[in-house]
Amino acid sequence: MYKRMLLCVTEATPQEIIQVATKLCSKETEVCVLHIVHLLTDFTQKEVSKEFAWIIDLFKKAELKCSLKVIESTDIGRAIISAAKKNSCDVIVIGTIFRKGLFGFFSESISDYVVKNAPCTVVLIRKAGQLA
Amino acid sequence: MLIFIATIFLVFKHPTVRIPFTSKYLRIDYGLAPIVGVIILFATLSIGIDTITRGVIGSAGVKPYSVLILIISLSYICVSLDFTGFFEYLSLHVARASRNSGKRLFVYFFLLASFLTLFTNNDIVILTMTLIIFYVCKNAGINPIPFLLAQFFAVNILGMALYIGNPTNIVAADAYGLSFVEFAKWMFLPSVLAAASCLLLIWLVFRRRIPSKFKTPEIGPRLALKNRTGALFGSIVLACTIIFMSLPTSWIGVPIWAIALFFAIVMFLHDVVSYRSSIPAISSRIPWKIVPFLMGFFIIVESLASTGWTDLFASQLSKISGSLITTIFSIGFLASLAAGVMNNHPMTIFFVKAFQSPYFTAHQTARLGSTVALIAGSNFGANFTLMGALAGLMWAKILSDKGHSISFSEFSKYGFLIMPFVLTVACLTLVMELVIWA
Repeated sequence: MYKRMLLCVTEATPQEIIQVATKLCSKETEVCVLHIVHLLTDFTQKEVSKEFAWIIDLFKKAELKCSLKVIESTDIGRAIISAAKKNSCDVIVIGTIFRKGLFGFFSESISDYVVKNAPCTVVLIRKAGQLA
Repeated sequence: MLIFIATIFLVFKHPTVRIPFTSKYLRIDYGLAPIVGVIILFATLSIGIDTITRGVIGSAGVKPYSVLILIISLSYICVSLDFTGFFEYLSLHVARASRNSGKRLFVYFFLLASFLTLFTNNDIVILTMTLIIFYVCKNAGINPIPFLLAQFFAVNILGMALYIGNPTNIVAADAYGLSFVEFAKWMFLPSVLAAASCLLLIWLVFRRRIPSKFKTPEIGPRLALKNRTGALFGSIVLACTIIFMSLPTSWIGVPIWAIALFFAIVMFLHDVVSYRSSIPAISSRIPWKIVPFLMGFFIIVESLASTGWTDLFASQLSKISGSLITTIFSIGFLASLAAGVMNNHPMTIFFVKAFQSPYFTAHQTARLGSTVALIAGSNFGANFTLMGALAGLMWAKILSDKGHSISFSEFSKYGFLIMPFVLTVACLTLVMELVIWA
């Protein structure tokens, strides 16, 4: 099992992804829930803590060590990779949304960037039927 | 021409390619794509050193290096001010001032986006305000899409008002030789009237989706302010930059880009003294990629000019540029639609080059009319499709990450519903201005 997990979350992250992440953990796993913001102020810190309290609660219910980390960056992919390296994570768990149409064709995929540049194992999760 | 089209495709698609014989990947993003295009043109002997030199140093009014210094300097001042939390602080104040009225909130957000765009750039307004709109709407249980669309439309309409509102304004104005004040003289009124008509239309479209009452969340704007002194200093520097840029060059004796560069250095020195550790964070927010992006397109369009493509386009433009009214309307609409397909930056550079061609045979007033119509088209084009401006894709991506996706077709549905009327208002105002003042 993994020792240090980096779980990347956004406001669009569904509960299913958190449930899969908990299944990948053992009692020794330290989970770092990562959210990236454009600007980190007291206001955003407070709002993000409130927004993702449900994720922390889910991990606590599963009796797992978990902490929320908010990072300020405009390059999300690079920020995820650097956070994984800095925390010596051995797995990155990230959700992915299948985007349809022209937007899907032209929009940049952060999960794709993470898969190609991560220094460790990457677990990519897509909720069944989740389309954008 | 094929390389030009392929480069535009790469700008949007930004593919990741594996570097041969390594495990490294290279992302051909919007900064790298035009450089790849230039390398291919050079390697196939389609262009020579002289074309590249003309693309960098410029010809006939447009000096790409001065445009880029100006854009980067202004971006630094705005990014540094944004880093203090000032724009977030203003947005929260505005949200609080709406006092439980959904209608008031909708209008206030539109006006704030318009106001901020006048003095900063659209990327910063979009990044800052989108977050606040999500926060307020989520806490109040309101659908954020009407508010977000209104914000995006406002940003791209008011970006036309001042010389500094959009990099495309600088390219088009420099090519014609419009100063800061002359630019505002022609463009301010059309953009204000266009914004008013847009607000009216967007209100009519979304009025049933905006609640009259909502519960205002507890908001503490001060929490958003990271550095109060820095915000005050940054506001003063930005105000001074705009004031000095608006003074005639003959009074100051230095070009406009030098003024922006001077104030950017002042801001940088302040940042070094105030928060040295944050300099890399501020620096990473500056749109550095716009340098190779614009430079690459200047060179590619220069090569199109040397092979006669811009002359061919200019002769076609001359055919539709009969009277002043047909010139403004045809170029305004053509530029908007072209920007919607090929992005406003390459479109503007291509049109500017065509206007400079000897085959563009419009009379003096019609030439000015073509330039102002091009400026309108390059700004408004971003509201027709998500591909109209680089900010469009960034905005749609933020929405998707927050769980509120908007497809290309849905965005264009609103764009084509609202913008033709808004563009008509702007073009009519431009015609009236030119008839009265030119």
